[in-house]
Amino acid sequence: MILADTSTNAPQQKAHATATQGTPVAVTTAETTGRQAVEVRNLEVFYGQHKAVHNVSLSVKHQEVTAFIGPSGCGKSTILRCFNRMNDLVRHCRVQGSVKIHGADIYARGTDVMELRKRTGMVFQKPNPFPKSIHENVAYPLRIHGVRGKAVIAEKVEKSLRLAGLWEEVKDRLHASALSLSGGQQQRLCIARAIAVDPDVLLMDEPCSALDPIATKTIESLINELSKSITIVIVTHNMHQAVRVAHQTAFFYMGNLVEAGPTDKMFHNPEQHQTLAYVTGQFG
Amino acid sequence: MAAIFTVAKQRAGDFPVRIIHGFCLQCTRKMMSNPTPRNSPASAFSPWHRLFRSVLDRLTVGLSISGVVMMLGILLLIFAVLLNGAWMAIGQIGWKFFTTATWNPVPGMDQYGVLSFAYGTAVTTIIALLLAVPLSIGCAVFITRIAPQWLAGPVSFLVELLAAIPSVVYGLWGAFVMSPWLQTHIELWMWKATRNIRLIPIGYYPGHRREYFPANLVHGGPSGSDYLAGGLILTIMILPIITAITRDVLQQFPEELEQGAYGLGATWWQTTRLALTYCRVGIFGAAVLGMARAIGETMAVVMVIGNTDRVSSSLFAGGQTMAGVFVNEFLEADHPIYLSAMMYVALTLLISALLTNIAARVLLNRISTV
Repeated sequence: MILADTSTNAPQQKAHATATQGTPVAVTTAETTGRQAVEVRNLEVFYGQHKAVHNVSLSVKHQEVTAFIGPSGCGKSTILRCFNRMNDLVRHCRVQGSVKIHGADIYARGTDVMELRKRTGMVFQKPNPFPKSIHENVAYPLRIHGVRGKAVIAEKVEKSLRLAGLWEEVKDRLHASALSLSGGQQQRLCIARAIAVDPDVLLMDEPCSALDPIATKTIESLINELSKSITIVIVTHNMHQAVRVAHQTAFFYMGNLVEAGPTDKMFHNPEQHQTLAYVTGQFG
Repeated sequence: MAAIFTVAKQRAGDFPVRIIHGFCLQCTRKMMSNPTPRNSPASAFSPWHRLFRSVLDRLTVGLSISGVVMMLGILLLIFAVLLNGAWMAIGQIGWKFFTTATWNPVPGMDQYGVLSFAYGTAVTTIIALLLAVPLSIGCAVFITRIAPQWLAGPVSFLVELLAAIPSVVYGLWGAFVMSPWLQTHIELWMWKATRNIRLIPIGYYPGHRREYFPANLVHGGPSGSDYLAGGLILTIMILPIITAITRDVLQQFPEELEQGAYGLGATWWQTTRLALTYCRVGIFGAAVLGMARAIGETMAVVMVIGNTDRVSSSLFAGGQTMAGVFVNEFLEADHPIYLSAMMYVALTLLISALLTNIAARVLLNRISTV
């Protein structure tokens, strides 16, 4: 954990002093009421010499949907990718600060990254089913995490597909190629794949940006459904989507967390003028 | 191979239609008869320039078509010449050619059988593929997924450099360095380790001792000039091509799938396995190209394989390949039936190469369906 880096980004620090003064911005209204699924303290991310995320602290409430909004390049995806250490795969990427998921510091030495990624599922911008059958796609994470037995796997696959709202559409062709599905179905398959191993947190990186409005609607109602049992963090470009699905919203700008709070408040009565400007479409 | 298949899969109607200034280049004839259609913007080119462009188009299309015709023609011509040359042997020897292992070209004796050569080709090719495919895949995985950038380039280059060494140089190295070393080290060690292991009885010839697997593989003791040496030299020779193609197809593994696998908590090896499965068609194609090279390879094999017309289940027995028999004997084929029998061998080699390629295509189509 390091201290706030006030020298390099003084202007921004000044502009939203409340957001970056070291005290975490509680995404929840009352930090004391619920468990925190993810707690971020003084997170800073560097790509080589470039600092992409400036001293962000926030927490994500358990079993709620939290939306990260902000213009392109504001660091929201980067922060999301810190939650399951996908940034480890990026060359020259350096992360400072601490990220705790259910109390465990995931950047601590000796963290089992594979286990971490199992517990924090991820859904990507572009549907990325493997070129295997529908069944094999959902069975894949089970297999790589050591689940054996045909019946067990089949049961889990059905459960995940049902949860993802895809079962009725594919139950007759589980062994057809996943690539034969439509874009929206593929994305739901990816969600089924991610939740097959019962993750605590589901990270969604603009999951609807490649989909048409109908498919988007299906995914959004799925997100509502899933949030009953899973904590969801969703990065979105679409502010309306944040309004529709998220309980909590965090607004990022230029690598800083500007403001975070209940979605209602963020969109109707934000504290920062920059947030207001963004949510009313004056920039971004 | 991947590239060849892609091209072959494209149908004639698929080639892209280029539109320039509102004119389709495939309709240039129409355009020439009516150079400036009404209600369309005037072309930026002068009529002469357009004529030149259309002639150029037809010239290049014509050239590529004639290239295809020529290649098919050459293949047919080779086939015809071989068939013609082998006609006498086909008439005199017939199917017995494929069941006889003896090759005795002494005038008056004239016993010709391709069996031992076909067996030699098959065994050396199989040894080469068994060793080269895993090695090449490992090498390609290292280049694409393990090596840091500063190392991947040079390693890649060095592997490809292996392909540039003339095969006779391989043969020379094989005969003077590899074979003696093989005989005194690897084969000696293999022989000591396996000669007394008799697990599965595999055959009995009257008057001989019963043979057992795997002791039969080292029967006869280390010789250095045998199927194993031929297979090893082929391994080294087909390594670069399989590695290069496998590397290229592995680089095609989409970033999204890689991220997807890691995002689910897959380890490096699990992700790599996913990549290998994804690229299996291309890797198979690479192996087929390697096989084609191994079947046809001549000089290097001849220099280490021992050159006898025998069929033996021992890896340490000398043999000969179909391609090898020409280089050894084409100058000595001094009477008609001898020459004709050689042509018969060539025809067999050509047809078996065609058949293995067809079989590979069929297999490839089967594995390419998800």
